[in-house]
Amino acid sequence: MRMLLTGNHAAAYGAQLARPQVIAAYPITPQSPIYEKLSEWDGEGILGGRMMRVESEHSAMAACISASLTGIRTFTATASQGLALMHELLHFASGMRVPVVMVNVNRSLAAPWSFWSEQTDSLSQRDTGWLQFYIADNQEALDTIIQAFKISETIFLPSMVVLEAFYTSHFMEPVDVPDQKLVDDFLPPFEPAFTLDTDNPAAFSQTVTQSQYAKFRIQRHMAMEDALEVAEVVDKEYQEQFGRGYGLLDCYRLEGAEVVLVTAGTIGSTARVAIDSLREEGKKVGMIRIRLFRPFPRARLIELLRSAKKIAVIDRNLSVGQEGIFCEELKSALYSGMNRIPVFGFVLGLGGTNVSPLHIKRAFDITQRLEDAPLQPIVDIEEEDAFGK
Amino acid sequence: MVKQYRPTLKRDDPFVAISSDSSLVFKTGSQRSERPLFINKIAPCRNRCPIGIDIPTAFHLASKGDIDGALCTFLQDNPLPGVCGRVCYHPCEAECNRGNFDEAINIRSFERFLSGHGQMDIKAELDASEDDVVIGLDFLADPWRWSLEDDMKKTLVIGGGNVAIDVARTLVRIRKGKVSNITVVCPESRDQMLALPEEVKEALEEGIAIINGWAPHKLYKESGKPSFLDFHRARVRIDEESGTFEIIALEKEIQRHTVDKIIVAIGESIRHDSLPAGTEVKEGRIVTDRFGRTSLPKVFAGGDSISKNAFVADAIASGKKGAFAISCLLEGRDIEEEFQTQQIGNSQIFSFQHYIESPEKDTLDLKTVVTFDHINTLFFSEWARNNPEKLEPENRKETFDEVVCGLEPLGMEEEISRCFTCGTCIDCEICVDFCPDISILKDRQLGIYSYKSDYCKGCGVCSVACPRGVVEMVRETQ
Repeated sequence: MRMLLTGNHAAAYGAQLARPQVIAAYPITPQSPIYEKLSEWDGEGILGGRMMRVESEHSAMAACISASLTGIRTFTATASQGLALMHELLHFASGMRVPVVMVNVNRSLAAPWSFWSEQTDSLSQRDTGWLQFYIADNQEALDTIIQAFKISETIFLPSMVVLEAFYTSHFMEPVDVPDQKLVDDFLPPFEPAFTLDTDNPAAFSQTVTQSQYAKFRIQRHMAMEDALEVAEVVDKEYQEQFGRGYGLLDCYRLEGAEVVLVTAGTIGSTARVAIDSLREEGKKVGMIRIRLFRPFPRARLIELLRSAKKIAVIDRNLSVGQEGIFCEELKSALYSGMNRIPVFGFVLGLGGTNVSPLHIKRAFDITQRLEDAPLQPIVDIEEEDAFGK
Repeated sequence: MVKQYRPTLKRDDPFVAISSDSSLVFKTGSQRSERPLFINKIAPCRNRCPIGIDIPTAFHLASKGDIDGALCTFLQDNPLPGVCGRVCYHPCEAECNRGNFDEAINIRSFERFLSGHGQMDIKAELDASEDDVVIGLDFLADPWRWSLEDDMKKTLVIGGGNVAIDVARTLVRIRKGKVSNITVVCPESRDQMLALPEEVKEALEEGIAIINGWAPHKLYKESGKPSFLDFHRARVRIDEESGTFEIIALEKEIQRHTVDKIIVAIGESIRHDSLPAGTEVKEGRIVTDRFGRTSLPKVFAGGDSISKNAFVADAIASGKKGAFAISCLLEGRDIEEEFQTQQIGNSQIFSFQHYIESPEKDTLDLKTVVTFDHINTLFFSEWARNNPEKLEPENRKETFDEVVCGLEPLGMEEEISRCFTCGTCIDCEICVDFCPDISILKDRQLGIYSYKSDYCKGCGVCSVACPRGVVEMVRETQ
């Protein structure tokens, strides 16, 4: 069924279609409409699962982990400060190998207090052992949630599907909401590998020896590596079933591109307009939108960028004292691939400021004009000469 | 279809930490650098008691309702709990740890309670005599013998110690409360008086005149009977270290008192003719070492004969030390060495209880005194001390009824439960409850505590939790 939905409501539909038996969440701007929609369905008796209204995000995740350990499917949603409060439990979720799926709506972290889009909240959770999907539009939000359940329940690691404050969360787009029957065919009921069992009591994640701990950590890492393949297969299956696939990396007009723009989230949508315009001017430019950030598709990126001459990364996030986080990760992958292409790091759109096609074209101009990339990220492109040394 | 990714899901090697055994496989004892030591120690009251009575054990037994056991504990070291429960100056109470919390335990009332509630009777015997100058102790031995019931007889009591006060107060009672012709005169200032302040206060309450700073100068007689007594101004210098007592006469100022009878209570000295020949005597006292050994072999002395510091408890203590010395002598043991092992806390006292029972060294540390900072006061709530009732001066002057009453049963019960029982394990098992590793073992039969070496990680919670300073942490040696 085709509906006009905000990204938040598309996410709520995606979650409901996956039939989670427990949803434990706490409201926070800009995620609240997800919570409210699910509560509304709960009130009408059509949610299908049980909605737990907990006292904090920390408790929400604790509830999801515990519920998941009983062998059921669980979902939650949060943003920004809520995600930061959850941090401790994020490690627990991945360490206990529970396939919880969570939506995080990117919102700038305090201080100062702010409500608009920035990816630093979810990127700060990079090392918690969660898969992270950065989506560009409302349809992708719905589709990715359904995919995430299947991937997570295969490799036994939790997934985070990341929307952007107001750009996706509150922006309305036509969304195809698939039939429940088709979703049920695609996503069978969760089959746990292990559950809490009152007849056979055991402690979960109790203290282990040093060497046991090391073993579990490496196992988690190996599962995350395997997730690359699983995510790719699941996306293909999804395309066969529903006619929509995204790939782990969303590539646009890469053929013959000498300059490749790399970005994530909604800037990827805007960049298409800028690239079309530049191509019309005869510029050899294309784009890769990184959809899956964890695990990081290193090999595929190295392969795709082999023939590029220059790379421009646009980050709506900043690791203070270093640079944009996608840029940093990309450089790391390229270095592993023995590829020393100049990578220009642009940090734009912080705090939800607008990144227009014009900004992207200007970033392209700077990248083309300079011979080599500056050491520091370029943070200001309004004045032509005002960029990092 | 997605290839099913099922990494090592076997129960014996899962990819999630799920216990297959109890946590006993973790020998947390390997983290230990200190271990708990469960050992009884000396309470400060016992450390200060001249007789070394095991006061906390007696309180503990009484709290369980075993009054006989408590009395036996006292009797092991003190043959006269009834007397001491009334007249002892109870230095134990001054040291009581509870004094730092709210108020000291009323140990004296407890001792008196244990000895039974009977009131002491002083029997009257009439046997007149006409001596003009009477010795205080002779008077107290039989107050009716001296024909002093007539309250018109002007009577002077000379002395500033407890005997002088006792004489004056006894005189008031045989004169049916008439105090007008009873006067105590002594050279000491009020603060210097050796009599216990409480006694002086009670004498004053009863209306007895006490004149300080005057020493007898000259007695005038008329037809063989005393007529008046001159006193001169005097000052007393007491050397704190040696305890010597010097009266400095200031003879210019004379005060004259008419007098019918004089009672002298200025201390006693040894009757030399009663001593074996060769006994060394100095300043009126037999010279002994700290075990009561005199200059003569196999002759021992104690009590008032060796010390001016002569309270009942001190006399009992010197008697016990003598007995201890005699026992060592007869059994051919080295007294000094034996005393080293028997000595309690940091004082010069010992206990027959310990001497006879000789408990294992690892259950009692005889030398360590439990201080207030070892008490976990979180387990106690503030609760005022129970003090006994006293007879009002008007009601007590005509009778020999005890001025200080025994504690009421309820008050006594409260005092018993107020005691911290410092350094004495009472099986409260708080250490067991608080141990985070469930590693404290209790031998229920022997009442002995120990720890599980495999699991005690030496956190010290038991030691901090112990309300009475029994559990201490000691370094693990290699």
